[in-house]
Amino acid sequence: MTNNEVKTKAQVAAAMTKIAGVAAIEGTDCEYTVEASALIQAAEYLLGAGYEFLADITAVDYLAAGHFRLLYQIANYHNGDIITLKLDIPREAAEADSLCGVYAAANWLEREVYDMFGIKFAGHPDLRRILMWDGYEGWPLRKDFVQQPNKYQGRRRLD
Amino acid sequence: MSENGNAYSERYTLNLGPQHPSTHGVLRIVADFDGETCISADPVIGYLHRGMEKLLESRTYPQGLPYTDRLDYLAGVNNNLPLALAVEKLLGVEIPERASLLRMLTCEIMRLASYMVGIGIYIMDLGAVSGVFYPFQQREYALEVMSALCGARMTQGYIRFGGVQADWNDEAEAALDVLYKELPPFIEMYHKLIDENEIFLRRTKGVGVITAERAKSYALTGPNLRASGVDYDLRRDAPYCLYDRFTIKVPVQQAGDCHARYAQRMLEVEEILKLIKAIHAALKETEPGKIMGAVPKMLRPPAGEAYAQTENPKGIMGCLVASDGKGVNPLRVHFRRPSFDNIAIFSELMPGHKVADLIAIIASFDIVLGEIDG
Amino acid sequence: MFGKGILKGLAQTGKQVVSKRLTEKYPEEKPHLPERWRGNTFALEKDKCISCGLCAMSCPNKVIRQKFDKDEDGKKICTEFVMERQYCLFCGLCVEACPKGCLHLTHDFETAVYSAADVPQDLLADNHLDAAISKYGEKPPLVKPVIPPKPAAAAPAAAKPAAEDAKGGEA
Repeated sequence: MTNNEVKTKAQVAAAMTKIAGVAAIEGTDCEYTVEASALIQAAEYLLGAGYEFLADITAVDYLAAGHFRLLYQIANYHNGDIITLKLDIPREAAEADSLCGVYAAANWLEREVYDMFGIKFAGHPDLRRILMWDGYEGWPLRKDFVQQPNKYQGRRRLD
Repeated sequence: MSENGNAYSERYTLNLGPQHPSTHGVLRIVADFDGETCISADPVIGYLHRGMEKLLESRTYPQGLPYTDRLDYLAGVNNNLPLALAVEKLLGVEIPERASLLRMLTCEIMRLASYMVGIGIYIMDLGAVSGVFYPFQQREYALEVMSALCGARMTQGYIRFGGVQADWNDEAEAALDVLYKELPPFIEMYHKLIDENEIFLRRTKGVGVITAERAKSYALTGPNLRASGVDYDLRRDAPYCLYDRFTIKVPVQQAGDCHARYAQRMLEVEEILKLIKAIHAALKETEPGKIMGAVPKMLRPPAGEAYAQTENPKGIMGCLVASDGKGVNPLRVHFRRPSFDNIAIFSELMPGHKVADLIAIIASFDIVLGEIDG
Repeated sequence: MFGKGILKGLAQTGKQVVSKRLTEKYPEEKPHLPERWRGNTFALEKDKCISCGLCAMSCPNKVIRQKFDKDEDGKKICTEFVMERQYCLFCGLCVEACPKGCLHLTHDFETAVYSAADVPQDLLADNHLDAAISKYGEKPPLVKPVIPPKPAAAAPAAAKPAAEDAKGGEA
């Protein structure tokens, strides 16, 4: 892919704000808030605009505000522009659409977010725990996850 | 024997289990085989999961830095850097020139050390155990420089918020001169040792081919990506610290197989040495002493989220820091670990290969489990 | 000829067989340790310690166990100072945090003990200052800028740098 196939941040901003549900964050030129319904459309646009590098999917638990924030860092393989998509989802209904159909890297990244936060990704082909073992109870990186010393989930010594 | 005289092959599940001398750590691959050909592979990770991201939420920012060394433990300082850059983005603090140059110099020296492990262990995993001792001797010279500079060989904890911990000294200068003297003859010798070895070529050419398009979709980074034909190196294309001052030549291979990943790393070693010499020369022109920027004693970054990426030996490492603006502990620290994204491709890459090829593929990726599990 | 590459490689290992050995013959030859090398034990200059507790606060792993008390003059003294080395990362953050520079790391690495109870190091019982002290974390000496005295107020300005020099020498 030659360099002129990657759209600049300004061109991306012009096209992204036209998608319903996507709004640019003030004060930045590459960060956008997306609604849950617009996520796949925004990702497909970015893939077509030359941003083929899904660098990171992660979540932040804003317990006080009552929501999770999913952060998608989408970059390209030519320069250092990183487009950040921020998606806020309620803690009680923690679900989002999976980007596995757009980027293959989303598979393991979403599995890690599911394992640590319990956020389900609709359309993920293989959503199961990745870092913790199958059968582990609890979502470790949530702010209300408390490690209970009496409830050790490993193998117990019998002496 | 079956009716037409061919041997039966049996379908079975092989556990390339977490305890294995060739899995670069505690990596487990549950693979189904038909005879000797792999038909499915599922990497299982988490055996070295230490909960670093959760741990960092209950430590202050400076207390969290020594923990990050343990991610890619073969290249300690390279892991401090994304966290430092992300927090400095939130704080908006300026780093003195000498501190930036020292950060780059130590990161390149540890990149060299990490490549030595990657190449040496790769050759050893293929069976040529003698090929591991010579890179490890070069790694010793690199670790001597770090030991003279900051007192620790592996997990240095050298990069701090605002700059670095200590200034360049004469012992480190002398150790670096030893490295300059010993590394070029080693590179020449190692090419003669490995490059034309028929067994090595038979085992690595055509094995584990990753096309550029699949590499990009799986977010492969680092030498694995460049061996598949994608010309992308953050130090040249998205410079951080003061990398934009130096001309960085980035080799690229087109084949995308295990042999290309070996050739790519060997070529990059020569470029790293040139870069170390250039950064060292630039360092000698700055005035000694100014190695810390103006950073308050108790770090309370303003509320917000910042993401910073660096080119680590294994690929691109990124760090997301979320701060609530009030506390001395971060609200969330997340590391984008290159080896984690690199091995996601295994379930697509391994089917169709033989048992021995699986080892060659894992070894050619140069993974480190501390990074995969976090 | 098939095998030429293997023979070329064998020639290289052959050369290594006859070349000088690089192995350090430990324990007959001790390794050369740079002056900033961080070892496994700590040393404390008890008389310089002001019992501020900054070292314990800076530790990532809560390695330092300290208890403070007030002595007869009401000054803060330290009654317990134990380094729980089984948790220690030897990162040196405590050495750097000490405002008086009285906590040090040493060059000791042959520190194997027979019992787990011997691993924590009680620095008040044995301040271990006879060990080779590492120069890690040493702050460079403060260089006070020399301010030329103003010509009009030359006499009081000349007295001031002299007093500041005395303070700088103590610190």
